[in-house]
Amino acid sequence: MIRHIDARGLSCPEPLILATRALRGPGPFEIVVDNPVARENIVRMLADRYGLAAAVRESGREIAIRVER
Amino acid sequence: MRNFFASRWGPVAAGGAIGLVASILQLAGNPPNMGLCVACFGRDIAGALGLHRAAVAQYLRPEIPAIVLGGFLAARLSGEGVSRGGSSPHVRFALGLCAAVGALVFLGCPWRGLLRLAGGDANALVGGLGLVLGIAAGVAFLRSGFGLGRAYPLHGGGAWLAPVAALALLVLLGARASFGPGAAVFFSETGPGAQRAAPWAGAAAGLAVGFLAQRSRFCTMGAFRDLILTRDAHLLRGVAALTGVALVVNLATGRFHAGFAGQPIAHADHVWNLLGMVLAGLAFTLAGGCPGRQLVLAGEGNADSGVFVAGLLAGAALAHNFALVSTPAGAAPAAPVAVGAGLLFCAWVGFAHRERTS
Repeated sequence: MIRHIDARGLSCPEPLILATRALRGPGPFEIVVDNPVARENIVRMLADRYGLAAAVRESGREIAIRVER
Repeated sequence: MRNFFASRWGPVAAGGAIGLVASILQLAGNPPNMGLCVACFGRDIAGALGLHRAAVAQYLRPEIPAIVLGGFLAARLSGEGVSRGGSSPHVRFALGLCAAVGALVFLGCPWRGLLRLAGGDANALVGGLGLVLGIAAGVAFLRSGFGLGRAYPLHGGGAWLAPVAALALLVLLGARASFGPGAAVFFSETGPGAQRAAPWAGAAAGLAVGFLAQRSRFCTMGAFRDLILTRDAHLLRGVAALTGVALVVNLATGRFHAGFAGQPIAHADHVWNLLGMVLAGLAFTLAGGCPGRQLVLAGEGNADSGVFVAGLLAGAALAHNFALVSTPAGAAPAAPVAVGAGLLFCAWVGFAHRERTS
């Protein structure tokens, strides 16, 4: 069961903090943001700090960042 | 779309550009160690509009509206322009007010803090320490679940409000508009408000800075916040670039004078340099951006940032009207009360908005 985190309407660092919390839990998760800054920050943090490559899917303004572990 | 400025070089390019154009603007007539300062120039604009009556701080600084327009253009060209808002606007207005008071007790926003440092003003180290302490306090609130709530897409063209207001200010300046004897627009004849580069130069500099800052997400508060929160030095490279470039230009033009005493448009009242910037740093962190970043976000169409900027202007005007602004002699007698009240307010905001968002 994949966890979904709704970070729409939140501006950084809140989406980043939510993603960090999700990383503490087990298994894959998907976090949805609606601004490109949050996407950049989360993808950068996943790569730089955790060595994780995220799958990013955009539909309209919404950006879903999926982390498989 | 790939955004080069999202790479590690983005903030370096934006910070370097701010350091360069600010140094050039200082050589071209803007006040010393104040080539580009959102707090100081905001209060000059407030004065030009007649919101305060300090005759030495009245000028429609073109840099500020041009930064908004630069952010607007960059956002539109990259498809990032979007009208959003509704995340506790009233709190953000008050945070802008607190930020202005704190910054005017220190005498500068973080951008000017770095420019002062690059000019050898050691008081900027004290202010910088205060800024970092304020940001650290803000990070503690963020870690404990602080948030001002979600923003939502706004309908009806709200994204255009800030750019149109910015354009209106530039038109008023270009026309040197006067609405009658004794009426706005006011222009200082002496003091810092009378020290100014050519309007076109200020506008061009602001456009370039706003554009680069939008693309790179440059933010001085974010630089220290991210370092404390996630050990991420991405934005901090931009802060270093700003300071480094300004330092090189100052050294090359003989404008570096190290020391605490006798620095231009500064004071050596350490306690209030420190606490003024603690207040400003905390207010920036709770509001999610330093004043420069808030201008850019307002240009993008972020109504919440537009409200913060309005608070900044109102705060600058109140700071002058209530004699809270520091002078070269030191902090004003009423400054401790204002800074103390501001800190209490920000602490309340921090504690009261620790709602979990899931």
